[in-house]
Amino acid sequence: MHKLHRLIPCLAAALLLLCGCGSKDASYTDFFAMDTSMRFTLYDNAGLAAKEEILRLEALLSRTKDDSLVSALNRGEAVEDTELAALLHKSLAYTAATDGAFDVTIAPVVSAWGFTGDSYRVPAADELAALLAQVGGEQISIHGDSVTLAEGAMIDLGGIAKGYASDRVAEIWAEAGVERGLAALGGNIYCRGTKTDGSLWRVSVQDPNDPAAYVGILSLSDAFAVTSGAYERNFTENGKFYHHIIDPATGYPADSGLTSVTVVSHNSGTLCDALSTACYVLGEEDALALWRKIGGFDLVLVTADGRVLITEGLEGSFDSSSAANPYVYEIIH
Amino acid sequence: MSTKSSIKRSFGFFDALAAAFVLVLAALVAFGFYGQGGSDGPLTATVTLDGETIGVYPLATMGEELLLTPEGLSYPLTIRLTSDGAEVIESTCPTLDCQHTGHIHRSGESIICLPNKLVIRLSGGSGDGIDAVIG
Repeated sequence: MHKLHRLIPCLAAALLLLCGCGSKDASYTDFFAMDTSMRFTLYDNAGLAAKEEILRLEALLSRTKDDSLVSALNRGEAVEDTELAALLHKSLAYTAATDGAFDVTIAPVVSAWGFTGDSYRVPAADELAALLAQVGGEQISIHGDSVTLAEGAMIDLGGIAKGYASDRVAEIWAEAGVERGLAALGGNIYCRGTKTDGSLWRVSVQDPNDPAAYVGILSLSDAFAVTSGAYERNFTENGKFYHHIIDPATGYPADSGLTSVTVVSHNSGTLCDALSTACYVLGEEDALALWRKIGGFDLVLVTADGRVLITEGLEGSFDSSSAANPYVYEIIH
Repeated sequence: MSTKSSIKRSFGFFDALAAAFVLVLAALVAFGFYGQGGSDGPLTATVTLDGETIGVYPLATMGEELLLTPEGLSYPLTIRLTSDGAEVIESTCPTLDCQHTGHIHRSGESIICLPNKLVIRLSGGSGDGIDAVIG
């Protein structure tokens, strides 16, 4: 029996090792912020501080909260804030890079459609034409940390704020030593590390034509992913379908031949957020041209004529084998 | 040579028994840990209101459909739960985004009613081990 004692330390070590993996049960933290539902999937509490950061950003960047900096800007006040100025600098850079397809000054037009409130409507053509005169990067003036808008102009950071928030989540989790976790901020995803069994995070991309189905599954680690689709907020009036992704060039919902755009990057959630909207507006040809020109991200484009285009960087991480649908899949090189 | 001889002598029947015990135990724990395929039990619908859970419903064992009309909502709505999923079948909110989401039936899918800050989220089941849905 004394020989058995020699293996007891081994037994104890093995059990401790296995118990060390005992945090297999993920904990979920659900909350509402930035006009959407958010969820953290974590294995310890170290990452929860990111929730406070998101709430802080909401208070700063919301255009529906009267005391936010963005609301102050939209009332015509000058605002001095390092973080807001930096985010608007990025926004203007994306506006320039996308030839205006992404533009935070589209706010007055989006409001006219009712997509920032609870009551959707179709604005008159002359109303849209007048509002479009207040849209464009030149409406924003930044001097150091000081920001002002041209008279009558307004901004809406809804197309970039959640992406920026996901970047902040990534930074906070890194500082806190969080090894693995997933943050789902509405249609914005940030996944860190892998799951406890070493497998990658599985993120399904919803089928724009069937909310209960998906076009494929992304297997990701240390990545950001954002999807923009017309099915998120929409309405039908007099038999015509209207959605919330407004083309800054026309003031009407984008009609580019795409029904869903997913952007994946290992570097920036802000970029993913801005470019998912921009690529939706740009359409297939210009979106792929942007991908070739800028680089650093990948795309999953779903077209209205039934194709799913996957850029080559996702070839090994996008799985459509279990998606039962009539789409034709194509890898773009 | 003497070292080899010493090792051979020290590993006896009880040592082999203990080693086998450790291996079997490790296999059992590993199966419990890794063998779930990302599934956390049967398909379950969790209903949250402003982040607070107000109901958890195991769907797989549900016989007949269950209609829910959560209290305290700004815009009353009706949720239908069945053994294979959930949907909002009626809502008084102006946007009706939750109703337009349709029927959800896979782990990771959710229905969101922003005006009410209500979320119906599916988890578990023998689906594709989905951790999140974007769209």
